[in-house]
Parts: sequence; structure tokens; C-alpha cells
Amino acid sequence: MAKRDLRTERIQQERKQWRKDHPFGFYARPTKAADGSLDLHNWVAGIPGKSNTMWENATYPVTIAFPEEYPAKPPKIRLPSGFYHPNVYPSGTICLSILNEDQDWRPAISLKQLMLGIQELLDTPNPTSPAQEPSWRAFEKDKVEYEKKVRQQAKVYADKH
Amino acid sequence: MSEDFHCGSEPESEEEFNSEYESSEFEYEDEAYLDDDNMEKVEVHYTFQVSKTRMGTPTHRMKYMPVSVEDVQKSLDDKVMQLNQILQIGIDECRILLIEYDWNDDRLLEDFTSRKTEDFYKASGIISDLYAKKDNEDLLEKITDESFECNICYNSPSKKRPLEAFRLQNCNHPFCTNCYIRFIQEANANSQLLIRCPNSECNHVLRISEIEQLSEYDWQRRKKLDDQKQLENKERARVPLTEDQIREKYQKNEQDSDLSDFSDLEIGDPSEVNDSDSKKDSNDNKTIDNVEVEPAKELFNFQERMLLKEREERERRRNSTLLSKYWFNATTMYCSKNYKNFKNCPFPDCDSLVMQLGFDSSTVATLAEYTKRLLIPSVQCSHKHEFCYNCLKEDHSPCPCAIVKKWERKCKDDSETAHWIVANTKDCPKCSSPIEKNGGCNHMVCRSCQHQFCWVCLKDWACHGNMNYNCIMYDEGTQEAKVEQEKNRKSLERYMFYFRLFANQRTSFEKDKKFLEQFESRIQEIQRNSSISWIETLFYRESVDILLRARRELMWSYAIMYYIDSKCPRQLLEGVQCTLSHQVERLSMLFADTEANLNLRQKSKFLNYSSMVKKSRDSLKETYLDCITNGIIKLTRI
Repeated sequence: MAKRDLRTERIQQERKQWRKDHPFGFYARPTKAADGSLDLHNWVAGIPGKSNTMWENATYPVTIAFPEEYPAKPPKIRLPSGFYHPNVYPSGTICLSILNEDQDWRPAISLKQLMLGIQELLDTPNPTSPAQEPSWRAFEKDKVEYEKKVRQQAKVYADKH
Repeated sequence: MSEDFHCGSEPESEEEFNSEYESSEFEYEDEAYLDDDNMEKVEVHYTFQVSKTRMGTPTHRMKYMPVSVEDVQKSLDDKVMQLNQILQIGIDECRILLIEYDWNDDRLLEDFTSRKTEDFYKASGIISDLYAKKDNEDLLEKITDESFECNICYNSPSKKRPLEAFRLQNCNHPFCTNCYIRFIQEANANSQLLIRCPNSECNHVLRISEIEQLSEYDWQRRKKLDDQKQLENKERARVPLTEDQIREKYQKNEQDSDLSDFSDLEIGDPSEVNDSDSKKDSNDNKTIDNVEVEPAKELFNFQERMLLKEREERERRRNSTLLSKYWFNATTMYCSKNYKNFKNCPFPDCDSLVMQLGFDSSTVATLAEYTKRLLIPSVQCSHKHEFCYNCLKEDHSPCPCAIVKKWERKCKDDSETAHWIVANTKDCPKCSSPIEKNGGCNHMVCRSCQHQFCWVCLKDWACHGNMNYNCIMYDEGTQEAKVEQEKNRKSLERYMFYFRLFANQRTSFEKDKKFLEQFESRIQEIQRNSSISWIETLFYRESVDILLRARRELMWSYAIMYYIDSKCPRQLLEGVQCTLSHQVERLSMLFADTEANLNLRQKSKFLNYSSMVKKSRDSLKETYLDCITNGIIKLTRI
């Protein structure tokens, strides 16, 4: 039996679904390899901050890497390193239960659900599982400073109009 | 310092009273009771042969049972059944609850009675059977509805090809079977025990019966594939093979057959007997019928290879299906969480476990107490490997664990170098660098600080002037230093003496082992040539074991001698040591002198000698125990 590559198949389906229907302001697409061909296993995506929050008017870029065991294992989604958010590690790795195979990852979670989950996390950080110190300290102790820093960051990733 | 380890010489009255109850009849009754009730085959072992020595010292034996992972699985199953008898909510549910509560049924029952039933179920991922389907319903179904889509691979059934889907009994989230199987495989690889439905909103935990259905499905499918492959191979086999292919095929079979010939004869291993063996055998037999078995050219350790092969076989079986792998994970997790009661055999390639069952004593209840009394918990796994339950090293009786630790550290580090320095050098009184006087007069000049002093009294040389040697006069301080030096020197000598004995025994042990390994392969050769049954050469193997074990015990008995207070009477211990050492040498000589082909004729001699060694070993062990627990000897330097 020719072994079907479930990973690639699933990613293609995800791509199809995403094209058909994706939430407003988001983008997600496979990267291009050096020779110009599509690299289905590594994607780039953008997550807009929710409007009426301190994250608004900006789209935050993430990279998505699908491991060989996907969808049995979750994809690795990373923000730029040094991203200012209590639940983002200094490397940019996002600490979110649905992205953790030992916690709430299920094979049936779609890319759309993941993207929306991360968008949700931006404005509602989980202070009980901090992943970096500066923003967590500010979030807990000094909300003004926190907001200032977040807005500064939003400017860096601001939408171009 | 020695007080801690020296246990009261006068017997406690309570202890004496109780030890009367521990007469052998009672123990037998105890075992028989276990036999009937709990498991089909219970073999309770003890760390010591008797509960009382001939001198009447209680031995406080540790009870234990050599088990395999499969045995533990069985006992876990029993636990599930017991819980179900109380809760009456179904075996699968009980199993999930027990896994969730780390097999702690007390805590589980407490929660069950104190919490609301609904909440309790929901928190555990077991939804009560409100919208449950009927039992035994096939959870696998062929879906033909084209609007259905598996949410993992996004495949849909077509008219020609229906999609096989699987759903949990209590939820309605079907996914295609392949995806489900891969999902569980991945969870197994991560040793995940609580596997939840792949749908993100669903909190249902997969039950064993559900995993079993998938597992069965998966196995059938793989079997079908295998059969197909075999058929293809048969087709291909009609094409003539090249020379290389033939060689490869037959050489491989020869190795396998070497071992499978003996696999039925190996004794004392309960885990070996199982159904899948016959399956494997029938496969092997097909190919080896016509192959002539050549004697193996290279020398190998027969026992170790057997062990490795058995282990591989067991591992294959454990990994063979989703269910077996899942159960294996559950069991090993249980064992590692209850590490106090389960220890893995430390020998390479041995995967047996030893389960502690408590103590045959009214005063000792924990392992810590046991070792504190300088008793040695030496146990034997189901492959007859002897090891210490406390330090997980090769058995070191009659030497208590604390002393083994000390001794090994002493041998390893350079504390003896320090002793030598203290015994043979003096420190410069100014910069305290050690100086050895290897000749010349007493006028010393330190190399490092140029200080001049007198070797005898260590005072500044200036005060000696030209002639007044006042250091010959007696002075308290220097005298003490001399006594100290003398003591160190003696201690070093003593250490070197026992270390030489220890090291000598150790090298003999290693040499004997090597020699006998070579011998063993020759025995096999003879056996093949003269068609003697395997069982008839068994005495040889047993004698080897006895010899090696005796050597090891002798070795450790020397180590302990170093720690015995020099004021204590040692004649008794030295006596038994002497006897054993004599017997061991005699048996060793018999091994060395006997030609391989004469071995069988000497059988009675071998049996005779080795039984003598065995007797001496027992008496050595007993004497040491007596002497230590009754305070005849005290241990120092601990």
C-alpha cells in the first residue's frame, strides 16, 4: 500500500478551507522554498489585533511549522522573537493550551480555530502561566506601562493604509 | 558513631514474643491462603532462608515476589474489578477513574462519596450514561453519506468508496478510523493514558473497550496486509534466488534456530510461557527444517543472548497492538509511581520486576528500618539475577549497604593517598606543605617557603643553635602527633590488607566468569556431538552459579572486615571465611582441572563440592548476621 502522507493531505485541506472561508483581517499561506516551489510544511500568517483593544490596528505575523506527526501533534506557531506578551516566550513560542500536545491539542482543531485562539489570547493573557518576565510584571503591577508598551508594539506591526 | 548501626545486644522482649508466632507452619498457611485467593501462581520469596538463625537471631526477612510487567497488569485488572464491585458503574469507567486517581482507590472513593455524582463524572471525562448507546454496539461504521467529512483528514466518502469511521460510545464525533488509529498511536508514543476525543469541544476519555475495538480493527487490517505480502513473496520465491540471497537467508535462520532449540527448556521463567510463542515457532520451523546446524564459531554467553532474545520478543508483543501498548504504558506508569514497592532488575537486558510485599517481622516495617539494622535486602528476579533491593546493585551480602557505600567510595577516591601522606610526611610548620624525609640530617629546609626547621620537633632551626638539641626532651604535644601518625599508618596497613583480599577475590571472580563462559560453549558442543540431553548438563551451570556467588560473597566479607572494631573478637568470622574460601578454591580447581569431555563423569564430584560450598555460604551469611545483630562485633569508621 502506498503510504499516503496524511500531513500533506491535511495541510492541503486546511488550505482549501482557509481559502473558502477565513475570518476578516487574517491571512495564512505556505512559504516559498528557495527554488520557488511551495513549502506546504511551513506557513506564514498574520493575526489582527481585536478592535477596541490596545492591540488594534496592527497585524501580528506568525510562522507555522507543521511537524511530521501533524495532525496527531500540534503545529508549532511562533510570534517574532522578543514579542511583548505575558504568554509568549522570549523565543516567540506561544504558550497556549490548545497548542500543547500534552494539554488540549486535538487533531480536529482547525487552523482557523488556532488563529482565533491566538487572537483571543492577545488581549486576554493568562497571568497564571507567564512565559516571559517584563510584560508579565508590567501586566500584574503596572497596567499603564503595560498598555504603553503594547501600543508601541502595535505601531511596529501597524496596518498600512 | 558506631552506636547507630550497632543494634541492642539484649533481645527486646516484644520481639521475642512475636517471633514465636513466626514459626514456619504459620508462613506456609499464609502462602496457601494467597494461593487460593488472589492469583493463580503466587511465589512469595524471602530475603533470607530462615526466619531465625540457629543462634536464635530473628532475621526480619523481607517478603517479595519476582514479577513481570504482565503479572502487574493482572493485578491492576483485579483492582479494577474490585472497584467496580463497590461502585457498580462499569469496568471501563472504573479503569479510567483509577488511572485518573493514579490507582489510589482510597482517594477516589472519598471523592466519589463526598462530591455530587454528576460533577464527579463530568470532571473525570466520564459522562453518565444519559445518551449512551447500547453496550456492545459496533462503534465502527461505514459511512456513505457524501456530506460527511472527517475533521482530521477532511476526507469524505464517495459513492464507490464508503469511509470507515469510528466514534466513541458516548459522544457523537465520528472520525475516520485511520485518523483515530494514528491519533492513538501518537498518544501511546507519548505514554498518554487519558486520551480524549479528537474533537476540541468534547471531553470524553477513550475507554479500554473502545481502544480494543480500534486495536482489533487495526490488527486485522495489518494481518491482511501481511498475508498479502506473504502471498506475493511466495510468487516471487519461484524465481530462482541468487547466491547472495540464499546465503543471507540461511545464515539468518541458523542463528535463530540456535536459540529456539533451547527456548522450551529454559526453566524458572513463568513469563515465557504464552500463546504467541507457538505462533512465532510455527513461523520459524518452516524455514529451519532442512538447515544443518553448525556449532557457533564465535564464543558467546548463552544466557545473555537468551535473555536479550526473550526481551526483544516481549517488547515486540507489547508493542504489537494499540491495546497492548496502551496497557503496557499504564502498567509501567503504575510501577514507576509506586517505585517503593516495585524495583526493576538492574541487570542488562533483564526487564523483570521485583515487588516488595512487606516484612516477616514485628519490628521492621520499612526498607529504611531494614537497612538501618544492617540487614541486606538481597532479592532474586524471575531470571535468577541476585541484586540488592535497596541500592539496586549486584548482591553484596554479607556486607550491609552502608558499608558497601563507604567501601566503594574509599576504593574510588584517593582518601588512601591522603592516609599515606599523613603517615609518611610532616607538614612544614610555616607553609604546611607536606614533606617526606628520605634521608639526611634533621635540619630541614622547606623547598617552597625556605623555612628552616627541625624534623624531630618541628621547631624553628634557629632555636637549636649549634648544639643544644632540646627536642629530645619529652613534650606532650609532639607525642600526640606521633600517636596520630602511628594510628594512620596502622589504618593504612589494615586497609591495604583487606583491599588486597577483596581485589584478589574480585579478579578471581572475573577470571572465573570468563573462563567458564568459554567452557560453556564447549559443553554445548559436546552436547550436540554426543546427544546428551540439556537437562543432564544442568549441574554444570548450577555449579558455576554457586561458585561465582560464593566468590562474590567472600569478596564482600573481606570488605566488611576492615570496618570491624579491632577490639572485637574476629576469630569466628575469620573461621567461616576460611572454610568458605577453602571450599571455593577446591571447586574452582575442579573446574580448571577437568577436561571438557570428562565433565559428565565427574558429575557427582561437582555436585558434592558445590553443595559443600553452598553450605559454607549459608553458614557464612548466618554467622555474619548473628555477629552484627547481636553486637558481638561492632562496626567503626561508619
